Amino acid sequence: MDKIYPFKFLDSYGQDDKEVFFGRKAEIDALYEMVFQTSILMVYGASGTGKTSLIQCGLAGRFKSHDWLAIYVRRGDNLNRSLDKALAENGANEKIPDFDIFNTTKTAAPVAELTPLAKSFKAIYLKNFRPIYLIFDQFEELFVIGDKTEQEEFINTVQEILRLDQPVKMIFSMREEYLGNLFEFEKSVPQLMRKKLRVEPMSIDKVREVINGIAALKETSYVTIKAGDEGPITESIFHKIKDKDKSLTIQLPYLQVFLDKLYRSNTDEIKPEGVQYIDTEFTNEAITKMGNIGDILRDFLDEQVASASSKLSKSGSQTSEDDIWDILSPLVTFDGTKKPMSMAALQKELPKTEKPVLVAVIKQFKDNRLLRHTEEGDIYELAHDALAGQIAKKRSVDEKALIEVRRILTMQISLNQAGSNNGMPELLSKARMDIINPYKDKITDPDELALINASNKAIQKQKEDALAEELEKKKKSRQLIAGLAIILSVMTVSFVFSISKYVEANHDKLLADTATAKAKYAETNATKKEAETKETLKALVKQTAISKAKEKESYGDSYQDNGNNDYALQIYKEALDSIKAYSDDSLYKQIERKKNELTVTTTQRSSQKRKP
Amino acid sequence: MDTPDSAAPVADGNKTYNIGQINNATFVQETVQDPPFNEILLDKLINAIIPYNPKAEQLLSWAAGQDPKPDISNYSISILTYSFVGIIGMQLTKLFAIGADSKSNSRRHDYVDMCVVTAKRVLQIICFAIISDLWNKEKGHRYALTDEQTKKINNFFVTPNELPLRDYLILLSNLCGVYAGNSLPLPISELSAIESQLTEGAFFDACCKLQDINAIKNTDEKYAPKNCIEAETQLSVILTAASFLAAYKVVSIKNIGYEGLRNTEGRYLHKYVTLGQDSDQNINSEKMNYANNPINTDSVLLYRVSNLDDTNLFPGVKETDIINMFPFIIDYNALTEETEGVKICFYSCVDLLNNKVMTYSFLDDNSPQKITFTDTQENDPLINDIIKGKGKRTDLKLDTVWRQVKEAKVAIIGS
Repeated sequence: MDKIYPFKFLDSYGQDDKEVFFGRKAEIDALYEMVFQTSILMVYGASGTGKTSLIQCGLAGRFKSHDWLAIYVRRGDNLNRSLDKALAENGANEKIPDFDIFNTTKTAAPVAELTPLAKSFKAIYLKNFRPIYLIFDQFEELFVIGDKTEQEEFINTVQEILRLDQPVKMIFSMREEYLGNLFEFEKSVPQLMRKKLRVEPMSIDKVREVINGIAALKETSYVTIKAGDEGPITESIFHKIKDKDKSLTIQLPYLQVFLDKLYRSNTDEIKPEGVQYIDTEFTNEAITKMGNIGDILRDFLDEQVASASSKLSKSGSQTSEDDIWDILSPLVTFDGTKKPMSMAALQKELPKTEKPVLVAVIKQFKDNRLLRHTEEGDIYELAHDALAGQIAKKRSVDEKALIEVRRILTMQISLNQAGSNNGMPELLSKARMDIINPYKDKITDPDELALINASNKAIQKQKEDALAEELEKKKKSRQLIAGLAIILSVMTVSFVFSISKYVEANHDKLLADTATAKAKYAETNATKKEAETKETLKALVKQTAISKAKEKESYGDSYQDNGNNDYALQIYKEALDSIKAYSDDSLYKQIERKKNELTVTTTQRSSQKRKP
Repeated sequence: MDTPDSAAPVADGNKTYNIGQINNATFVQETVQDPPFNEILLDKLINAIIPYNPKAEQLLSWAAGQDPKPDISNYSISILTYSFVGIIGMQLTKLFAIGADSKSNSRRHDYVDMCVVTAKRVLQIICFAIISDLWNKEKGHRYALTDEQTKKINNFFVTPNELPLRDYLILLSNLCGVYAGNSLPLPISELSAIESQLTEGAFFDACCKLQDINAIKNTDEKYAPKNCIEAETQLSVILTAASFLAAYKVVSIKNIGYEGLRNTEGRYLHKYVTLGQDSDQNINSEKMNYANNPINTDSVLLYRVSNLDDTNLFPGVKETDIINMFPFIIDYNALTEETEGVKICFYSCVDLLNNKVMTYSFLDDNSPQKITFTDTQENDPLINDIIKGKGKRTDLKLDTVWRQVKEAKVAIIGS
């Protein structure tokens, strides 16, 4: 009886592997139950948790071949075309029996009225008589690599499939970090996430199931485990892979690589030449001997890269490890997921890599099962997303930038080809070209170069146009300023002229006025002087009069003193007369008082004399 | 170089050579040929359903008038798979799928198994229909059963393993005996045509031979092509005799809603699934129907139709002619409130050690579906919490399944 090698390394498990597929019984049961509860089902989980194996092996193993027709659809260049191709391969284009030939009651829907998609599924069903299961693996590629047009077309197709009453079910398998991309999809297909299964990383219980399963294979397997050792071996493996990480789970690819590595470390040195597998027993001692594991996958990949570099160098082609990493890089998207590439596409991506070196590296990695090869289309693909993640980490900053540049270019070319922007090809903005231009020399794709050149030309033209416009503006501005200046000058001159004329015109008047003013001033002055002189004269006159009056007063006082009242009185009258213009003067009043007193006195005397 | 003993069989066209064990004497013996699956079945059945599906006659008439004679297998398959009552139609679909799958390594094994399963499902449908009908009748009146009848019916209810094909035949015979003994009309009137063949005759022989072929899988022998041919032949005898099932349909009632806005006539909205395939090759089509009266929820209903192409619910069918197959045939999805899809399960057996566990057989793959009685009570003071929680509501319904099987047993045989 043929023995089984129970480890698949990084390959996913298929329908033929159900005897060695362990550790996922609960998930298989749950998945199997769900497919009878819904037409559309989502299987998701982190990279490397075994989603593909769960469906291709676990779920497939629950069905008899006559109970399901599994159509696996993997996005090539376009998911919709891949679906068309997969349907065609299963009989979509076969002739549907035309019941109208003999059907007199004609109650069945006429074939001619069916949509192309409905016809496809009807044809497939009538060929196989099995419920159809469309399995979309690596579904995140629709969002990572596909464009909006492709996504919209696919959503419409899914909606149409759900409207069919045909027995068609859809299972989507994708990495959970891309679930957010399903937002638009879910709006159009609300039942998308109604039934879903998360595939969890491997807990120690799951690892135990795997080890127990391997142990149960006994003589049918190249690997045996002694009864009773399953528990300790599980613990050792789990903790070795987990290392210092406090997590309660391990990554499945690490387990797969570890088990394969454990087998090889047990057998490589003792295996006869030309024999692929020999019997071996897994023991705790063998596991302990493995030493520190660290990051198994990273170390494993580093080993393979170093080995490839060494081999090529020995054969005369000096290829450094960096060169090897560069060769692997195009097989990984910017987001760190697998990207299938044909050899031709790889050569195009790596123009500086010699073809024999490229072929040799690809071959080595394929022989080491790190790359898978599909004959159709000569497509190469990394065996696992976990490898893609490791390769992405090795990229230099420059390389990452170049990939981002390529992504921008590819997206824009796709949009232009899809006829967005109302069919007008859209060029890249200056901001984007500032990112792209430093890497222009590394772009070799003619379409991308054409886009770069056209964008740069457009930007240059824009600059020139802007400059010309600015110059024009400046010129106009200068003209305006000049004009304004002229106008201003003219205005100023006019103003000045006017002013001067005005001034001139008013000058005589001004002069006249001035003269008049002067004259007036002079007159005023003269008047003023005259007045002042008059005043002075007046004052002098008054002063003279007062003085004379005073003198006369003094004469009058003297006459009075001497009894010569008449003479005094006379004098006083003369004094008063001399200053009668100054009657408010105190002297006047004084003299007047004296006179009055004298008058009285005199009168009295006179009176006295006359009396006998 | 591999030794002859370990050499794998070599396929050449439709012939397989076990060159590891080949020698001159055994050369002829070891040269195997895949039988042409389903030819006999198609031919017999397309003729058998003529009374029930006019398309069959139209097809045959048309083919007879063509020269050269056309290959009508595709047309025949399409007509047959939707003609037979949905459940059997689906079994036929699987048979045809096996026949079309030339790459399958287990083709012969699967084919013989499927023939046996199909035959058993036929007997089960008829038995369950009669038991359901008898249970209804027993509610109003206790009918007389002979000891043998009581024993066989009791055996059905207490068997720890699903009854084999022959035992279902015996059960059917006894059930018909109950009806005959009590002068009751059979719920499936056409059954009277084969009643006499339930203990001897072509129908009886076919069931026994089929069971004998099936017994091979319990030995070290592998199915030979002749086993496949014989299985197909016997199945065609059984299905031809039971071709009246082509006049019947089965629906699963998923959900019943009620609408009764003010000043409007209240009405019920039935959401149901027509089990099996319809004339457009649609499978398990979900449909809705307004009706003035409700019907049993979560039920699987069998009824006779006059026009197979009429996909309306109970077209021209009297309520009294509808047979509720619950709890012997259940839609597990309906009971567990799964709004989409159906999971049709047939009563199989009870657990030997735990009386509270029953096993049903899932129609799609014959896998076991356990029903465990949890004793979730409707009169529980916490009924509000029970109804609110989906898990508890499911337990209530599944408890009902368990209870009703027990009740049916008590009703029919008195204990």
